[in-house]
Amino acid sequence: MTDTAHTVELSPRLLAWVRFVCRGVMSLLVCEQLALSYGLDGDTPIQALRGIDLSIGAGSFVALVGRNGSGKSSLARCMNGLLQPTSGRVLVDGLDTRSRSDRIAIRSTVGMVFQNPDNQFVMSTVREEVAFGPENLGVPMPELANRVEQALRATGLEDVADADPQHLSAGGKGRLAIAAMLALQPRCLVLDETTALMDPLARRETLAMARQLRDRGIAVIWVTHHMDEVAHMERVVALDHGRIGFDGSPAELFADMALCEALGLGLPPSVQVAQGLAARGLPVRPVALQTEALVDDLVTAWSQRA
Amino acid sequence: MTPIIEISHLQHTYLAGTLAHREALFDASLQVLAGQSVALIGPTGAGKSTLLHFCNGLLRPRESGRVIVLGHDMGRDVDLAALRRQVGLVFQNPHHQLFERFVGDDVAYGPRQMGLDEDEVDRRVQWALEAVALDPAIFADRPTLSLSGGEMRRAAIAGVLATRPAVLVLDEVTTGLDPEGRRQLHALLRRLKYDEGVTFLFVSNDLDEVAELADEVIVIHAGRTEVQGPTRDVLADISLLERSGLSAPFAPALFSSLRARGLSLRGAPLTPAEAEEELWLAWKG
Ligand SMILES: Nc1ncnc2c1ncn2[C@@H]1O[C@H](COP(=O)(O)OP(=O)(O)O)[C@@H](O)[C@H]1O
Ligand SMILES: Nc1ncnc2c1ncn2[C@@H]1O[C@H](COP(=O)(O)OP(=O)(O)O)[C@@H](O)[C@H]1O
Ligand SMILES: [Mg+2]
Ligand SMILES: [Mg+2]
Repeated sequence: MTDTAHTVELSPRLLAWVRFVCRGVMSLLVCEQLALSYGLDGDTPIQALRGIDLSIGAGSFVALVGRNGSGKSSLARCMNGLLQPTSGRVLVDGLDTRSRSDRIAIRSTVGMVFQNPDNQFVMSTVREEVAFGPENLGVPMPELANRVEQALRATGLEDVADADPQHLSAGGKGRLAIAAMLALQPRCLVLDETTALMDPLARRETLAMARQLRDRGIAVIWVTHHMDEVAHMERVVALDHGRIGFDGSPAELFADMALCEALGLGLPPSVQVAQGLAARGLPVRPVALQTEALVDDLVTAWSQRA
Repeated sequence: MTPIIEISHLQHTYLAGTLAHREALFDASLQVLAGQSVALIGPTGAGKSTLLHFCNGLLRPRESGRVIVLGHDMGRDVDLAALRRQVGLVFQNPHHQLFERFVGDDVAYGPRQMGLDEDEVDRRVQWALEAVALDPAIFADRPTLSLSGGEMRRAAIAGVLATRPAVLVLDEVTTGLDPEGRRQLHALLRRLKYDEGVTFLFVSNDLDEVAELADEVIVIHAGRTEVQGPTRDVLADISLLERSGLSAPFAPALFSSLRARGLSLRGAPLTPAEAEEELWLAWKG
């Protein structure tokens, strides 16, 4: 029997059913030996990704870190089929990103928010901006309006729905970029250094927003250089020259200073101080992921000494 | 000492006289002395970039206020080409800085404009690319548009460094750099300051970075400069920072939380390293 005969046998309905049943157990996003090169037609192709194996489940919150040029954006773009692997494959909810016929399904399952959301806004009001994506995908009217209102509510933008996107605060722009993606009802959101150009308040606002989405079951992949943000996540994936240099919890990562150094990363300031004090014999936990944890430990240490 | 940059009571409206006019500066003043490193901080939209653009003549005082740069009154006729050789401005957005097709040519652009011979141009390109940790052997021939975000940022900085200006005006240049690149850039700026006497005016929204690099800090909020003072005084004033839409850097915030929980601590650390030292001293008693 040939391959084509196989595919004919599995009807689309059956396939959809299999996919539905597997949803709970299957990873939402899987990269298998993913490799990507740029400029293959030129004389010196650039190998941006060199064999990435990664699997991300529904509703997880993952920080993606690594040096400039380590491949974070390349990986992010492979995750929703904006870029195709040179070898290996990427599966989104079981669909291979190379399949042309599944392109729309893939793009609406994995939403991307880039750096500098300003440049992405094309419409003249916040509401129109949020409606733009689903409208283009042909979402019909009552449903479209519902989605838009939901996305505006989820991001706290109802009150400024008629404002010009350019007039929003920096944090407001971050939330709008997320709202526009939410209206596509993705199950995974990739934020590629979305907060890099924001001031700290706007950054915090956008991160809080992302955390709420995770709580509603959306997988969030957060690309960042800010170690204090990383400290709040469940899992960190660090890229190193196109390979995975670390995949684990922030506590494990920050406990290993030599590894952080090798990956070009830093320590969050609370960990830096806690490690220094612990090494000097103060009774504090060395990996204080949050400032509050360090404060608690210090207060306890002082009270027990007195 | 004569100031290198002196701005007093500056006002600026974009698109003045049109329906789309937008007031950006109401009353802005600052002073940067030779060899100093001065940080300008404030929330987004406060007018930081606008103020920096006055420092190399991209914007000129038209309404009220005075801008003096290296002794030139910027409200009058100034040889801008000559001024810009001495005052290098790195834009907030690297896309506004890079326009040559290849990275090497982009970095060479400034030195070529200065009429330097090609050997010297080459030396400077090599030096500048190495200074921002872009290996010249790999990156000089790379198309500018093929760079990743952080690499583009580095190339933009290299282009300005290559002209070896005596005054550097930097607009949020560490955003988008990885932690290692950030540390390298801090070290480079310190070397330029201490070894070569370069004067800095820089905008940063990372107050921990400001704590590391600045001698003095200016706070700007809604188009008005609020204070200019020594870094230690300004960054320890948490209520001033909060009133201006900023949040305190790590070390002052940590000490403030510890005091609120009843610890009696002396000292006002600015950086994590200083906080560690102060806590260790307090613990030893
Ligand atoms: N369009 C492109 N053409 C050629 N090389 C590219 C292109 N985009 C990125 N690269 C190169 O691929 C590598 C990985 O880039 P990228 O994924 O953007 O890294 P990151 O997002 O981690 O900074 C870098 O060396 C970068 O210069
Ligand atoms: N080219 C421009 N045209 C019109 N308005 C501008 C322009 N550039 C900045 N503005 C406005 O001027 C104000 C100050 O902007 P800016 O100096 O960029 O602030 P900051 O750098 O502190 O974020 C903002 O309200 C901004 O929207
Ligand atoms: Mg990137
Ligand atoms: Mg600015």
